[in-house]
Amino acid sequence: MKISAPFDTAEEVLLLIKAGADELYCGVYSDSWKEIGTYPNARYIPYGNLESFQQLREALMIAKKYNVPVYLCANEFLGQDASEFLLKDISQAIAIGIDGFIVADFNLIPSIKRLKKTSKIILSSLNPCFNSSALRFYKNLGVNRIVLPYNQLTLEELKDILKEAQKISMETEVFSTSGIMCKNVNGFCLYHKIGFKNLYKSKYKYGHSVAKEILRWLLKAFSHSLNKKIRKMIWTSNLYPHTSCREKFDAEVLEKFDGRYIKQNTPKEFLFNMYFQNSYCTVCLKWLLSKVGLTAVKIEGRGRSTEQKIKDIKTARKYTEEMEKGYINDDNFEQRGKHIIRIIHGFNCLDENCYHIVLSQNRLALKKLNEI
Amino acid sequence: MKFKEKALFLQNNVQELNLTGFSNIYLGDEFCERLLPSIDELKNAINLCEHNKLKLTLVTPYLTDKGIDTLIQRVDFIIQKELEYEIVINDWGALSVLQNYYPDIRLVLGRILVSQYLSGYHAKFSGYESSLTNKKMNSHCNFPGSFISFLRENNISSLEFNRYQHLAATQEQLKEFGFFSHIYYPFEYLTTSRYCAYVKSFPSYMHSATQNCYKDCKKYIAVKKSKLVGRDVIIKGNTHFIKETKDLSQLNCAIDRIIYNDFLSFPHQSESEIIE
Repeated sequence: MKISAPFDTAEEVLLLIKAGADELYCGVYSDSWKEIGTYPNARYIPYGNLESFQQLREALMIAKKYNVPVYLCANEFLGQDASEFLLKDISQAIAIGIDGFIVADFNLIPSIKRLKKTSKIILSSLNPCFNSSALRFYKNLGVNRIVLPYNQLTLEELKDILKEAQKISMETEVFSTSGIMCKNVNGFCLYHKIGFKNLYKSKYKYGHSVAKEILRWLLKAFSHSLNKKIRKMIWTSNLYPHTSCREKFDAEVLEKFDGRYIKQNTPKEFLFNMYFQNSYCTVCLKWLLSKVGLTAVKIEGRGRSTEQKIKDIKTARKYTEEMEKGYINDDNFEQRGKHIIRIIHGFNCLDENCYHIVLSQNRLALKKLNEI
Repeated sequence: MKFKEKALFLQNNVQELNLTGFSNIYLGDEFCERLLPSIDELKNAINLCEHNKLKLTLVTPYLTDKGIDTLIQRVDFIIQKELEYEIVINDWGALSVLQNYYPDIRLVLGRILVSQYLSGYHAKFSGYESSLTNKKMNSHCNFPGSFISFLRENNISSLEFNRYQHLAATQEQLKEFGFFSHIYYPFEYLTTSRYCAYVKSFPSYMHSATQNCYKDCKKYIAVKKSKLVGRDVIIKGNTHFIKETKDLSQLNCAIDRIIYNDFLSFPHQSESEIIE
């Protein structure tokens, strides 16, 4: 199982490779895009991207020495003009030796293949695939690997798609340790696209990361439960750079009665939070997914600190190594995952961070997968 | 302006509808495969269409393999009937399956897939009232030529829009290539998820295969008071909506079909009349 990791500077490349990355990916946000007023990929923050193709060239030179392929993110649905501009970027990237592209708009594929037939095409989870028919559809369009919308599929559904992928020789990838907290279908969410408030505010760029670091140290003094409460409070407060989807809100539930919606006397409780409380983690699920042929796991986090990326890579690497050595089995796959997280990240893994399944369900899923 | 066609997205109370002036009945759901119509619901809708001489539009959401199977069953049922129908797709897998099994069916590209190209509004151009000139905005919002070619190769001639601004920005291009444009009104969707807000439990249980769905979304809505959006967000099951307050008939925008999807009320009743 390969580990695919993000980088934002050429200096990071060697560190990430040494930490255990098998593949790398990045975006380039050059000055020209500032004039266009949009982004060539789905990281809408300048600091999550390289600033020029010269930087990409430097990164490629290092990666090539270690035979590590590098993929360029071109995973945004763009209008006519911007799309043509993106193709120029793609052409430049091919000229300096990029190995492939992560795309969302499959209509780019024929143009990429015309430029370089052997370019690897990875379909981003921004064009989500929920069924085996879509998988075949994308395969016919020339997609080599697909990033599955893992947090929107049950293990059973995922299993069916992975089985089909094996049949048609399509590579598959899911996010590994990830910072995605959102429960919405990433590729279908319009909260950011119609921009009631931008996702990241540049003024937070430095202030936010410094404040976060200070807070991290301060929080060590608190108990785990209090720590969690404080983090949630900050996340939902105005201190955090908000989008409208992450805003704290009150919802009033109305019931349909005689053709009209009325307030309820005894309010029905629903679960409205559209984000996971903490980053979700899928470390120990690698064991389950390796059984159905998952090709790669993706470390999320363009724009994150190098230290964080290295920890995430090391976690994934350590777990995959233990799998390969036969140290992990059906009885201990969760415990080993928790142990590795505790050793590398320095905190205890919580069931609620396991975004797919808590312990009992894990067992059930394992039983079902073993029945295949 | 007058709309060439008016369609009604069926909610409840079929027998109470006054369908004068409507051309299409929309049935199904764009966001949840559990809301694909049952055979009985299909029968009722087909009767309604036959009685009122209307066309049927089956709306389909993003689908899992199980949902694709259900879709095939429903389409098998519809094609036996002698009525005019079309299918709105919001999943590329559904497109692929329908074209393989039913090559003659008229397909319409749904608003979820069309809205993926909303990025033209992104970054600097966020917000409702863009300061951009129409020309610059259109160049950002126009669909890429490769997408237009793809639609033509796949015999898709109608596109459904979530926001009229998106439609307005692309209308010249659509007209040039002979596409029909449909708009949903008054509810625009904001986001959707397979984690349904109405199934109160740990997220991972929410859409497990064995989870019972009581279809509470047909009975309840939740109104989220959002300061950042600047208006109420209505949560219905797994999807967030906002209500468009502008009267589209007053706009200078060529819309081929308006689809009334007012799940709060029958068209043209005000929200205040509905919510006590």
